[in-house]
Amino acid sequence: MTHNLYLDTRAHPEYGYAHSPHHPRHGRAVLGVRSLLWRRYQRFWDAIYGTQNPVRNRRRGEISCDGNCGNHWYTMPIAIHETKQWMAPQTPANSEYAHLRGGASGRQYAVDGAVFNQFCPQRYLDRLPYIEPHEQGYPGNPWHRHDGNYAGYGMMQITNPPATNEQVWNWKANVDGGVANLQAKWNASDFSESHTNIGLPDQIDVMGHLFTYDGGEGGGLTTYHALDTIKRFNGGQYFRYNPTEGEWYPPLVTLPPDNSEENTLDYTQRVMRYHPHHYE
Amino acid sequence: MNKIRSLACALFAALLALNADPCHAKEYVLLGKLGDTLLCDDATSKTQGIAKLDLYKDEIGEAVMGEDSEGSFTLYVQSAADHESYLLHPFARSKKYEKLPCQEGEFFRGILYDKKNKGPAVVAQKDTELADLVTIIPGQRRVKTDIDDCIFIRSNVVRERIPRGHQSAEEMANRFPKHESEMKRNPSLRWILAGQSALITSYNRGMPGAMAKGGKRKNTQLFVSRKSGDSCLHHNDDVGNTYTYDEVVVVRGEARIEGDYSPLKYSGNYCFYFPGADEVVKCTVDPKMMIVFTDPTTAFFAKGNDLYKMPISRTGCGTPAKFLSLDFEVFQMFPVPEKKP
Repeated sequence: MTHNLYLDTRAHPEYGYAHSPHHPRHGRAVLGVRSLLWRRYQRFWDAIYGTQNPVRNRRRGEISCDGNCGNHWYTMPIAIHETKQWMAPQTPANSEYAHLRGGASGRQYAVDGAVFNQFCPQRYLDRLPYIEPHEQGYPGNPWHRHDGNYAGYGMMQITNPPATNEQVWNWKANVDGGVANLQAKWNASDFSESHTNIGLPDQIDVMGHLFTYDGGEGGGLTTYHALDTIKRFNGGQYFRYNPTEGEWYPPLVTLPPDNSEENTLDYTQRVMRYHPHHYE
Repeated sequence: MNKIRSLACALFAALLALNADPCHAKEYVLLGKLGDTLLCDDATSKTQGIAKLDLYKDEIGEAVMGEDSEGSFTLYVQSAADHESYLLHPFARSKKYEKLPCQEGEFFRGILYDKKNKGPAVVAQKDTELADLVTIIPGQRRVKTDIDDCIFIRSNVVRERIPRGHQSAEEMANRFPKHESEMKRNPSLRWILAGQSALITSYNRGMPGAMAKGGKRKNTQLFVSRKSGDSCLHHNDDVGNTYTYDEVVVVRGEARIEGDYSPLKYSGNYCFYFPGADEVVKCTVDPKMMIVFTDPTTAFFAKGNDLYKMPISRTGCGTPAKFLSLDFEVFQMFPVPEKKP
């Protein structure tokens, strides 16, 4: 599988495998000292061990999903959403990212630079005046969040089934695992075997993206099948078919308004916010 | 002496009374929407935890119960969104849900109980390939199975996948000449297998593909007694969710109150069909009450975290009364056979 999605990776693709028993920072937790020295020489160590995250090409027009995520064009917005960084509250409200403001705390999500975090980036710690202990990570350690009793790892926050060792330490394996998971969700969707549109709404607007039964306006991409797959990636489902009536139940999700608080938005809205349409 | 005699009489009468109540001392396995599993004694309303199925952001989609190939009483469940299938032996020493293993890239749709081969029957699908209805028996052995040998209360499987899951009006007219005129009145509509128990088979008539705006939809069901061959055709103004239990079929009505294609809302209208009957028994309860189990004398409903039971018979029904409060919502109840394997 090729990885054209991540055209400009600062680390050489061959260095995607980050784990090294010789990595200096692996010993840091044991020492219990946050050494400024390691921060200073971070780039040096990253260059050697390849622990940097893949970076989205700044020439945004070149971002594409050619060949590496199959039907799953939403892999990239999911990866951005799953690995979003917190920014300091002082980020101007009228900045180009103002529409991404989220949460009552006034913190915002960044869309610039290294948005694919397989590993905890240094800037994550640098920019924040304070972070909750459970949100803390160490630069270079795998990007890790808790979702209930489950632990999610890496760019795709692989949660269930649990990430393998390879998927925790290798961003390429992590993306492959995420795409495989998306394919499983695509197959499990009721759209993969039902061929009727009876009972379905004409269209659903998710953050300015119109989804329809056949994906008409999205060139056949923004289908209800895709929307259901995005929803299922985070658990649950968007649409359910009633096989004894031969028609669809009404959508199981009621979307809040687009300008709602971050924590009240539906998962599909939070993902579609990161589709290129929103920041190009 | 007289005192002893009267005491003995009273004791005898009490024993008779106990015996007369068929629900007395019955045990049930309660399966929660999110995987909690309890054993409940109907007489004392005492509960005892059995196991908890950890469903990651998912809920139970369908469940059946039956003996496995070793004669052990087994619960088979499938999650609603991901179609992950699990089994549980509630009376085994180790009470833990086990996942029904799939092959790579494969997933199961629906979970039925195959009475003949004594195991869970599933549609084993690989990517978009069509698959047969197969029964999984220990050791990953698979046997192609026949729908007539399977029982299921209701299922999320698209019925085209199951042989004889969809039948044309003509086929149905040949099978049930008693209802030929009704079948021929709508020759283009297909009949969908809605559920099946050892005693009853239920069919729903498929909805027409296109409806004129403001058109009124009618739901039609056919209930067939598998032993005697008796059948009952039932028309319903509501769209019906059909639950086929061992000895009774229940239809929970859903109505489009705000017109066609508006969201369905539960109407609270329930119909009960008893094998051999020509008419269904109609009852109206709180629309939030969801049927979780019925036998010929008692219907059990869940409303939020509360369980209700309502006496029913072939002639009518009583009023639901609360008998148990839990800390989860019940999805389905299963009676435990008297002889616990």
